[in-house]
Amino acid sequence: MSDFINHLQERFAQGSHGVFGTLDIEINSASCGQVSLAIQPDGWAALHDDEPTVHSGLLTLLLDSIFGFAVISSLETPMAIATIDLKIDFLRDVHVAEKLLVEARVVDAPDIFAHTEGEVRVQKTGLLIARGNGSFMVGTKGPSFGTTNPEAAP
Amino acid sequence: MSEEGHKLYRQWIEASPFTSWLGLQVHAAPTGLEAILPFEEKNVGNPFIRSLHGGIVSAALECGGGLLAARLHGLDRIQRPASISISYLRSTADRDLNIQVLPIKTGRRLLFLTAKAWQDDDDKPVAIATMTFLRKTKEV
Repeated sequence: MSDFINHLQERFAQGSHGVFGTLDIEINSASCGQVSLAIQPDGWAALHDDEPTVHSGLLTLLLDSIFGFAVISSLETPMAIATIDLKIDFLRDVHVAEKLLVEARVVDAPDIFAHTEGEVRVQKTGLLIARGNGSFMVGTKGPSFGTTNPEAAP
Repeated sequence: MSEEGHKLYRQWIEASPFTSWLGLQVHAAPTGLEAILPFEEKNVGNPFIRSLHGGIVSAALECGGGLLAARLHGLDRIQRPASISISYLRSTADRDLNIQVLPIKTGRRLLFLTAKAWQDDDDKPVAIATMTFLRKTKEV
């Protein structure tokens, strides 16, 4: 799935992926249902302006996305996917200056479903910030990631 | 909801960089909290079908929950949830998103909220969620 990594890198670099355009993202790896990203938040991602910890909404957004990336990286044939359910536990606050490590993996993919799990950690210390799991439907209507329409990646 | 309540919500949103960046606007709250997330290009998750990013929908619900949690717990700023569980029921389009957040149980330390998001028809939600908030008694 090196095409997929290249595609993600291109989009992040171009800032063409909505919120990801505002984040400093490094792709550590993305293959066979496992994805690892490093992300540097900034002041705009803070929950409070006088207490700059990362807003949980950003953590959810990151986990939702990386779960989708993990599912796509596990597919032999490009297909459209859709998030069905997401459950996130926010374990502790983290300062926006901390670089974050976001990792996800596909734990099972029976039939048309794919189940994922993942977590957000402080990259420097490994401290767990949030963890979650997500369920996806694979092969939904609509365009898929791939050669026909790479813009359809989540 | 009183003008004072609206003013408080606006202050809390302005004091929360991420909530301001998201662009959430509280517009009415007869019970719980109702808000709108005006459509913006940055919220598109899939440029081909022009759907909103699922994480943006979830973040809007979390922000709404954080505002309501602050009010119900008598705190002075938006709160972060301890957990969220969200189900995506329908696809979204490149339009405004409406949200409603309601309390299920308000305890001394714990608060359970339910939330839904919809676009054209509030009987056809695009997402539903439950959130749990812990009342912060000291800085962590």
